Amino acid sequence: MIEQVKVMDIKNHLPQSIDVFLCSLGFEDRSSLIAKHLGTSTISKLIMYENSVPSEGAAKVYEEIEKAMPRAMFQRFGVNATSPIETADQIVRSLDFAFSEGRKIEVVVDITSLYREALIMLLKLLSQNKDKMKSLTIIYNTALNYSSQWLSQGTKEVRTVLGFPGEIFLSRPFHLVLILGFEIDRARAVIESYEPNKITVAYGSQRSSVNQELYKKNRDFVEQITRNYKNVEEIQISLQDPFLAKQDISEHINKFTIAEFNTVLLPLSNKLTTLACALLAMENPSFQVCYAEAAQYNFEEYSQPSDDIIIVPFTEWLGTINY
Amino acid sequence: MDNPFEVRVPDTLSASEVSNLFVDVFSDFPRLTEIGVHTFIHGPRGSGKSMMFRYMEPEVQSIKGITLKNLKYFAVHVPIKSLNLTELNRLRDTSSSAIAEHVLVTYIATLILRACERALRAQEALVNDVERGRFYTETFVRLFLASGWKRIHEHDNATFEEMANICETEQGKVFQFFKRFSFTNQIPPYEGPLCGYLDFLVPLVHGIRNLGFLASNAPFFLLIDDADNLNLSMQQIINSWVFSRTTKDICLKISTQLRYKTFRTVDDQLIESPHDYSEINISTIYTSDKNHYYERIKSIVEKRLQLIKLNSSAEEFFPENEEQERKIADIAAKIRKTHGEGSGRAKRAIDDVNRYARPEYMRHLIVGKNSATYSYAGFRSLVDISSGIIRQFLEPASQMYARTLSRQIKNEVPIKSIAHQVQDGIIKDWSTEFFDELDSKHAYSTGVISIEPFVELKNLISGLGELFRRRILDKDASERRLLSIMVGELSPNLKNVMEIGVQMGYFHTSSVTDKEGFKRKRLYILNRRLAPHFKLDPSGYAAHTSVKTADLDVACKDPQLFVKRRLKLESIEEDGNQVSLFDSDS
Repeated sequence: MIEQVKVMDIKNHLPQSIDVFLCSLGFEDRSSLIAKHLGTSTISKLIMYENSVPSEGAAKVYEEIEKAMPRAMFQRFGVNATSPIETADQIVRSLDFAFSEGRKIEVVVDITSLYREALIMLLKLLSQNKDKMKSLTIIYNTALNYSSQWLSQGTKEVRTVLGFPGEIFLSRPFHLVLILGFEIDRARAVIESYEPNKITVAYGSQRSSVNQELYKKNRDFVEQITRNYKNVEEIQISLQDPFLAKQDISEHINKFTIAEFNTVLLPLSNKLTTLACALLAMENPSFQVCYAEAAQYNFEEYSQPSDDIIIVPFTEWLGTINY
Repeated sequence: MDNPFEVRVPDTLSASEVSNLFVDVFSDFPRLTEIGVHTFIHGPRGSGKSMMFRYMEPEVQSIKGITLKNLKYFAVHVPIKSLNLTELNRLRDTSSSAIAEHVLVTYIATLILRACERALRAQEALVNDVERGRFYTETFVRLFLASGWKRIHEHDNATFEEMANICETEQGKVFQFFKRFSFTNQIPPYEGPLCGYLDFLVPLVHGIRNLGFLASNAPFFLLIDDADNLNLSMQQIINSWVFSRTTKDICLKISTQLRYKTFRTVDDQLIESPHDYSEINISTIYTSDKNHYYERIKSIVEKRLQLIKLNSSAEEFFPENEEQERKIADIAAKIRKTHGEGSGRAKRAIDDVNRYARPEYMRHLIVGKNSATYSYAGFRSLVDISSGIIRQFLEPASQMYARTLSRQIKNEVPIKSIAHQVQDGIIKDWSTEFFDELDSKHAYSTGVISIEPFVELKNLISGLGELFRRRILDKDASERRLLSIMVGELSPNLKNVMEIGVQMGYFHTSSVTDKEGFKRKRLYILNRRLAPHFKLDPSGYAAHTSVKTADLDVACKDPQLFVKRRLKLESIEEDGNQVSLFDSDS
């Protein structure tokens, strides 16, 4: 069952002894918040995904984590949003390190700062190693607020996520399922790239939005899309529960004859809904997942951490996978 | 009530919708429909390329009464959606190229076969069963088997739709192959067929042409739409097809948004115009012949108004601000009088009127501390602001119609015109939105990986906009309606910035001979969509001023400094010669 707890209580809600803890070195305080509070827990191995383009913020975060977890065996793996192949290979290596002892282990993943494409690949690779895990728990620090000015600018490239090319028949029309966050540039880039015949915009309710100004910009963008594309539908989804969000999207997609369209999922909201997209695409291999690489992030003021942690148990889900 | 100016993505329109909406513009681009020639057609988003392509399709032509036997060419629309499959990056060069070509060829073959099926059905034409059976076994299956297809086929005949399904299945199998090496560098051997352009697609089309339902000399036109969306290696593959000169069977008509990455083939040969292909630039054609473009937009608007049973002219539907036009007419009369008294500047009074009446009115608004602002309402003004791009007229027009409709008390009353206040409100926001978009333009669409050139571009445009505005208000300037700059050799950085500006649609380019008459220099003309934002006059000829490279560098870093220095400079220049801000040109 999904839990929401305060960060100071996090230790009490996770396995007492964590064999492998995976997290990402991001450029903001949210990267290290959980690790700092887990500090004195028993963690055997700590795997950190580090952006190969270093930032000042990341260096500071690394020091904080290192200080908080002096007993853990550290291993850093570089990930690079400009090179998805390199990132995938590094994630594979990181999991070889994680599972090197040959026994079933307890795994906890802090997904807060892992960029979306890497997160989706990681979930797929973890699912391929399901027999090596006793338990899998995913944790996420929600944002108190996002910058109302901008989060990212421009789009460098639109591409498929490695492992999720889908089963695309190019002569069929595209149905783009856009999980809309606050990064409209990237959504626009993908829409212009695919020129879909059908667009579904999925988003959280206004009440659950952490920034009303950005929520309004989203609404303006949706109106703009609706002016240029006739076939646009909107659905509301859970922003907290990836399994529920997956179900929300799936129920909507199933209203149409899937075989008539190439379905493309574009997660641009929080990491929990990104997990929902990954789960949905793993259940439906014909769905493609795409990624719009941002040109520039607002390193100075992307988001502020709340003191809330969402804990999502994934062990049961592992048991449902058939490879 | 439907919005007559609604902009719909051409792919989503039915054949009859295309037929109803399209205004014949092919006389503007004769090379596009020329037989025996591959053609690249370049134009920004919204300039009408996809609509032209859709109109060329046989289904639409049949609505116009043109039978299959009377078609000059059989056009197949090939829209390119994003084909940037990350798995392709794992493949080494040659195999990647062969597999990528196979994906393209099977995609196009699917579209060709389905287009044939639809066209035959629409015109109730038939292909003799025996002929089709022979085509299936002796052409289609034979070609597939030769490409490595291992399927055992049980039948000796198939419909075009069934053949299309086979092609589509083979194309889909490639995606299955990709999934096998997503997370490993150990690439399994590819065991499927590899269909190429020369060994599969061209002979397939040749076989279809021999079936006899088309005119014997009618080639296939493959209308490859938005080829910029292809990755580099796929563009090289297309270029290889252009190089191979198969125009007797297949003419390639390729549209781009000026972001095409390369004109090199897979073997690194360069394809060139006019030897290998002809080239059309829609912006250049429509911005250099404004009257022609005006007539085109007028036809489009009036056709759309007729669809909602309104017989207004475009000028009546989008009226000018009459009060403003009266005042400008008064100023024009004074200018004619002054000219008649011998104090005119140009030879003809009409030239003085065209050059100075509107700028003088704009100046009066400022000097007289008038609370009124310059109105951009009126059909001609909206056409000018659209800068040769049809969608740039239709999109604000659509918003104007929607706003007028939302303000009506009773929705059933037909809208007879758009009030000038509504036109102004929308067009000014539309202009500012375009400028503000520079904060967030897609770096991906230009291949640029840094945000810095966009910052410089925005600074440059700010500087030029401010400078042009000051010039309009300068009653002593001989040419007040500047909209363009003439430049010589640009530094690599500036060239990059200006190219991004052109690709993004903020400038279009032309060339002029310099004063000495020896060299041709590049002209960068500001998109007139920016005119309301910078309060410029979008009408008439885009007069230019020369700017040195060093001055542009200043504008990129500090637009205010550029304007200040430039104005000081202009106040001391003599004989209309532009003097650099610096001692020597750098």
